[in-house]
Amino acid sequence: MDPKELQNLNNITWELAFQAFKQNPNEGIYDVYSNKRIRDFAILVNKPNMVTEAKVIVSSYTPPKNEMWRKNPEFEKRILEIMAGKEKNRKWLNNFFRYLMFNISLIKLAINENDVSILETALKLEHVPNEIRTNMEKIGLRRKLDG
Amino acid sequence: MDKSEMEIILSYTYQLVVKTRLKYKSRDKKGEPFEIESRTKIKNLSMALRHFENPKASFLHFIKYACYFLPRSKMHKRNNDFLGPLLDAIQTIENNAKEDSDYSHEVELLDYLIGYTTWTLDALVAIFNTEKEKDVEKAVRKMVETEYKIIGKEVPESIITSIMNWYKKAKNTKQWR
Repeated sequence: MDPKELQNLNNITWELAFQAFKQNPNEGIYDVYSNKRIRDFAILVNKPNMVTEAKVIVSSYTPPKNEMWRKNPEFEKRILEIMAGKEKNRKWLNNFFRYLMFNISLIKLAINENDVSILETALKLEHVPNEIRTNMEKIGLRRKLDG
Repeated sequence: MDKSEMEIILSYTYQLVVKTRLKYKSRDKKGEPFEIESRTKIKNLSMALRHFENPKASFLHFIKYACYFLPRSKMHKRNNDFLGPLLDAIQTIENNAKEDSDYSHEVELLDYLIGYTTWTLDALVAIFNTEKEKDVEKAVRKMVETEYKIIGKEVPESIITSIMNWYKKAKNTKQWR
């Protein structure tokens, strides 16, 4: 994979990773798509009927108690679109899911440790465009950590 | 690697070394009481540098790999961990890259950093396990001075201090029964 393509992939995964979080200000917690759920999609990448099977798991999904699925159905639609669009490039998709899960874990770390420094540094070092980095504030990260 | 790059690598090596978990158990007749926890996690970082053929892609992958796996290790401590100085090192290496760099040299520098960190850990643990306590600082100082002599620099005293503090903290903490 050439560096430009990888950078583009990385940017897409950061954009999506931030969408996997929704702040619940009343309870002071975040609802988040678990990496376990994302792994359900990731393991389909090596299957011949990948897109069909992905549609099945979306339509048959019973959401967990936090109802993140109901709050953000666009998230899984976007995953399906990406899988359909890159159906012929399974290597790209493997890296896509790997980096998506990495990114979600890093955002979770920032929330759990009440410290955005590693997240901010990683975004900077990875040359993630500013318009994607500002999603940190959109999901309330800075405000939560300032309070 | 030129001398200024060697100085950067050496400096970050010692910053990283003292962020690892040095464990001490009471000396028994056969065992070596000092050991580094999660050493394999550090050694495995080199694999991330070879994930892609293109060095610039591998450079990005290394950052992501480190940010994902290091916080999962026993080394990770809030506000005082291995990952912070590692990211600083990456930033410094990238800031010094030439504008038209294909990142093969930068990947090489990271490889040296990881390698030197692993070797230095082994060397220091060998000193701690073999030298009498009163001779540890002298042995550490001799090792670090030899390295800095090669690049024609004086050893920053802060390096010796940080290593000795790291050693004493482990010695004074009863971690294993």
